[in-house]
Amino acid sequence: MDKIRLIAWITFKDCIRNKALYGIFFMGLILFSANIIITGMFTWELGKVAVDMGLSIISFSGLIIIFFLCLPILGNDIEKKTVYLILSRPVTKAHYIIGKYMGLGLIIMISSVFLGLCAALSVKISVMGAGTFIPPHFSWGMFTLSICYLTLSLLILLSLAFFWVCTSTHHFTAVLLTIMTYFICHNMENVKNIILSTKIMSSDSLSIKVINAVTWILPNLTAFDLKTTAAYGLPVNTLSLSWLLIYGVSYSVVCIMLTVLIFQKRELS
Amino acid sequence: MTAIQFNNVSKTYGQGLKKQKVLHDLSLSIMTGEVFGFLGPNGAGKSTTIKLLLNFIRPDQGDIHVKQCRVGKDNYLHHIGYLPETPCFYENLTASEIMYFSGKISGLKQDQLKEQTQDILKRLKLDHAQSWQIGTYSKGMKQRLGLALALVHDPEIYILDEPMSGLDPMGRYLITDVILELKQRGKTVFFSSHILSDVEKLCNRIAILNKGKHLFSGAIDEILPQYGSNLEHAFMNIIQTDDRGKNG
Ligand SMILES: Nc1ncnc2c1ncn2[C@@H]1O[C@H](COP(=O)(O)OP(=O)(O)OP(=O)(O)O)[C@@H](O)[C@H]1O
Ligand SMILES: [Mg+2]
Repeated sequence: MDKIRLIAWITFKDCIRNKALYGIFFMGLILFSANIIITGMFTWELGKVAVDMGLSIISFSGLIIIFFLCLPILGNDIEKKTVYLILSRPVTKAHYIIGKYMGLGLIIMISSVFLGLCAALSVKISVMGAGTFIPPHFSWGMFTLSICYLTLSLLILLSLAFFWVCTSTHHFTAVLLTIMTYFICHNMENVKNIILSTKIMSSDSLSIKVINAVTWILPNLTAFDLKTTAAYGLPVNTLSLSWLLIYGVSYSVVCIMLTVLIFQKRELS
Repeated sequence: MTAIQFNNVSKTYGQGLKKQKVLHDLSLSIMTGEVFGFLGPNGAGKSTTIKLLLNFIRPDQGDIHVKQCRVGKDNYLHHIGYLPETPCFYENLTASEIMYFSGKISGLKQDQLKEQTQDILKRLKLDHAQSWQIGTYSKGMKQRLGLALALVHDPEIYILDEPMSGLDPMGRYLITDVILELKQRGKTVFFSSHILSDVEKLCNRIAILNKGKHLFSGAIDEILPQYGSNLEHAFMNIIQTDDRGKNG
């Protein structure tokens, strides 16, 4: 456990000093300013747009951090042989993967907290400006909750990225595969809805069931998107949210376990 | 007692058409307390052998033992200090942070570690740069830091892949000095090098590898009168004879 903590610690420290991270934060800030200005153009439903935009910005920045920071860091480790530094010590490959995941996961969480605060601020400012319409059931609790779920979905994507980096021989392939998974994840739900709306198939036909299963196996990242719920202040279903939490956590755990298994077989030449 | 033992080790890289055998049936033993030089032209398979020894890659055949432990089965890495061919670090960390990490993960106590780190960095003339980020280091400084990391937990066996590469004469002298001190303290050092004068100065025994084949191993004075007047001649002779034998 100590070893995992040490590995997580150096990963985190190395990443937090990376200039690219500040670039991403800076971009987030610019987008938030844009958020305030743009929402100023809507005369009504201003709060809703601000919330929706704020959450999108956090999610977008998170994706950039995963693709342009975490993936290259992990890929470099394996390609430039920085792993030798760690694996020539008395640690197992499992320690390495888990430590690395925790270090980078922490970066994502911190970025969500930081950008979440900025988002909250931008929502406050844009709502304050006009004394406008605020959705009747809007609550900061719901806002925070949706940021948490968004972060969880980013952590799932990170575990998938780990999986692809450790299975593919080149880190660019891993980037492509991760992007592909991400896109498929996000469009499965749409595909299903389109098929359902055409009424060619009933909702309990076999193919719909297969699509459903695939959606959850690929991780169903859309399920973690509570933007609309937060923006419209819709009522939340506690039970389904708890299930979602369990699903998200176990998905990442299983994914990291598989990564460890594959990484143990892999030669680092 | 043997510190490192290779038994009939073979290694192939790649698959299908690109398959390439880079180690043929290597058997070698290195005794405890010995400084062992591992020589061979570029691409001979020295680094491959060292990676096999650290279990980064697995042999097709044969087995490797470090002390009583079998590589790939038992835990033996706490006995080992390793310097990679091109040491790569997390560039945004400082030297003292990476030293702290390495010592701590190898099981050193806090106070022991602090002293050790200071001594070693001073010894390798890195103490003035210990709070710099490693990204700002020159190649030679990185090389010396790599050696510092191999030394930090005071292991019994040192595996150094070209410890002198990229160093100025002063740095080479420093490292030779460190290896001589390790030799005096009865540690085992297994290192590959292209700088034969250093090898001559340091080693008890050497092994010569060419294209994955083990050509010679033994004491330096066994090789000298027989193959050439100095180590450089002897080395050339052995390699050329082998190459000619293959072509002719
Ligand atoms: N990852 C790899 N994939 C395929 N072939 C490889 C790989 N690494 C090394 N080789 C091949 O194995 C052979 C031995 O390489 P190795 O790095 O062990 O040589 P070396 O003796 O360390 O050489 P040098 O003195 O240049 O460091 C070379 O022919 C090289 O082309
Ligand atoms: Mg080499």
